[in-house]
Amino acid sequence: MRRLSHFLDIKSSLACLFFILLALLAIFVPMIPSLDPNNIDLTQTLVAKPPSLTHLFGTDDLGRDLLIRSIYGARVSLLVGIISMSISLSIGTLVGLLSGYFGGRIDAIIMRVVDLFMAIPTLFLILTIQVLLSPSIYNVMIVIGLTSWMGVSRLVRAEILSIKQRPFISAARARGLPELKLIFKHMLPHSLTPIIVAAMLGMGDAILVESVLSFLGLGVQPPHASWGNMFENSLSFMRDAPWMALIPGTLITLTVLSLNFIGDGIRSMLDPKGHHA
Amino acid sequence: MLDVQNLSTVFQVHSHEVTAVDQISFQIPEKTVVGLVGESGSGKSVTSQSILQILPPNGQIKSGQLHWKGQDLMQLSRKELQQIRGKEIGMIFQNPLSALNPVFTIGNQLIETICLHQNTSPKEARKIAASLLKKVNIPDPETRLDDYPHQFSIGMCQRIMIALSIASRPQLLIADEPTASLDVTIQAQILSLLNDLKSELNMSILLISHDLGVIAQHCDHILVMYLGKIVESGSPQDIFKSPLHPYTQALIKSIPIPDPNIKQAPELIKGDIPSPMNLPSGCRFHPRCPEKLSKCEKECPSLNTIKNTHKAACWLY
Repeated sequence: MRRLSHFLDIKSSLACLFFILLALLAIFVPMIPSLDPNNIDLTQTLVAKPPSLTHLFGTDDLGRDLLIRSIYGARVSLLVGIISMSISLSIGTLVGLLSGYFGGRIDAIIMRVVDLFMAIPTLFLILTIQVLLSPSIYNVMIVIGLTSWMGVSRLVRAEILSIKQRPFISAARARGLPELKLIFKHMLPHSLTPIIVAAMLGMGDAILVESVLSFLGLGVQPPHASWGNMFENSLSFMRDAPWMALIPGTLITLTVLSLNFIGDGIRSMLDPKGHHA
Repeated sequence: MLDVQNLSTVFQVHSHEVTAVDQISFQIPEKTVVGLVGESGSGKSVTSQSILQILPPNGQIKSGQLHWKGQDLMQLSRKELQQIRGKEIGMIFQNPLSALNPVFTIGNQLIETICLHQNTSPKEARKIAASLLKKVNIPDPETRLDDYPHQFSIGMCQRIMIALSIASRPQLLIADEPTASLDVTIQAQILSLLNDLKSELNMSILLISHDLGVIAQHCDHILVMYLGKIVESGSPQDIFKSPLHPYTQALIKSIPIPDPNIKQAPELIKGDIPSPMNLPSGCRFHPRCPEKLSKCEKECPSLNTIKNTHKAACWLY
């Protein structure tokens, strides 16, 4: 509880609240069958209607409620963010730990492999895969995960390289701790701060990549809703119905921003000296 | 109990091989305190790290034997070695604050160590941890188990370090400059604590220090190191009453006399320690030695018994 208070500064609490609300809506709203994202309000068709009491976020050009579509879009975005972040974090941490702990030749080989992966332009790879295979959101998640772990592994490696030299590691070794315990219990928690921050940023990035793909028409396929394709759809109506672009745009921004704030909050929570960020 | 024979430890520094410890031999019998003195860079810490084989990645034991109760420590597997580290040989370090993991409570670290070498439930381990803290005179041990290292003073941290290293009642405790970063009153507390524990647990101590006073007071046997070599060894009586090696003599003369009426300044050893990258030929002390013979530049003297327990590596004897 004492540690929790370090987390609860206003910025990260608001971010957390926003994120939890978004997650809850994304989980539970689709369970209500009457709220269909593809339902067309026949009284509102042909011209997009601005936000009103019946449609809080307004409707799009086909008369579909933008609030419900946004919530369905959040589902896609959060899922992409969480799954691809988990993939990249697991690979990145493991690779970084191995590289940093064993050092020498193993480190050199692993780091060259990382360089190789870094040279792959992620977006084009995803585009190619989406064109070759049929566009699928699961491909997107996996490809983002498999191509974004290098940053994490470099962070972890750098952190481990410096922790390895610190006296408490020799002290722990002198007490007879086995190597696995040394790596996972004594070294990993020290590199946790950059890992968590990287995870939050990575999640934001993944959400952005998914939006870009959907915007290009290679992500989530209409009529399914995602923030990216809602945004794409709004382009032709930008002048007459600016809310159609503003709503998914704002949601993307807020989500990425709140992920960064949560990362900050966790960082100050995990710091045993309790500095507020 | 511990028998070190011709131990040499080298470091790779920018493709140079630097010999930090060169062909040293010594024994630590049961229930004795062996002191290891020398200037910074003389290889004291490297010797202790070599015993437990916790050298930094660029360090390596080049030759020699380490026998612990008949077992060859260098032939042991990683697992067997982990069984000896901490359980049979404990170690405390120079800077206690950095030798404790800052992200875990001290209770966490104590319990981890206790569970590692003893078959206990975590609950029992916590009790043992509290009793260990009590043994090293930390007040209110039960609640302090949940504190982080930074919440303790440096002297307390060193006592916690001691508690950690004696958790499994080791037969040998390596104390690598345990008082170097502490002020004088705390030094005295730590040393008397070590003394008490030594008789209580019947353990031997390898006490590494550059403080001759500390060594004189607590050791049964003293080894003097200079540039990776043991230059003299003997009982405190031998070393302090009749030092043989010119280096030891100079070390003792360099102790300031804390009496304002005596105006005599301590005598300093002339010159600096040569770089271990470029060691002098023959006896390593010859460039600074006041009693240099022509032989000293060419040949390195070996450690010879002069009288009973007293040994010196010098051509004068």
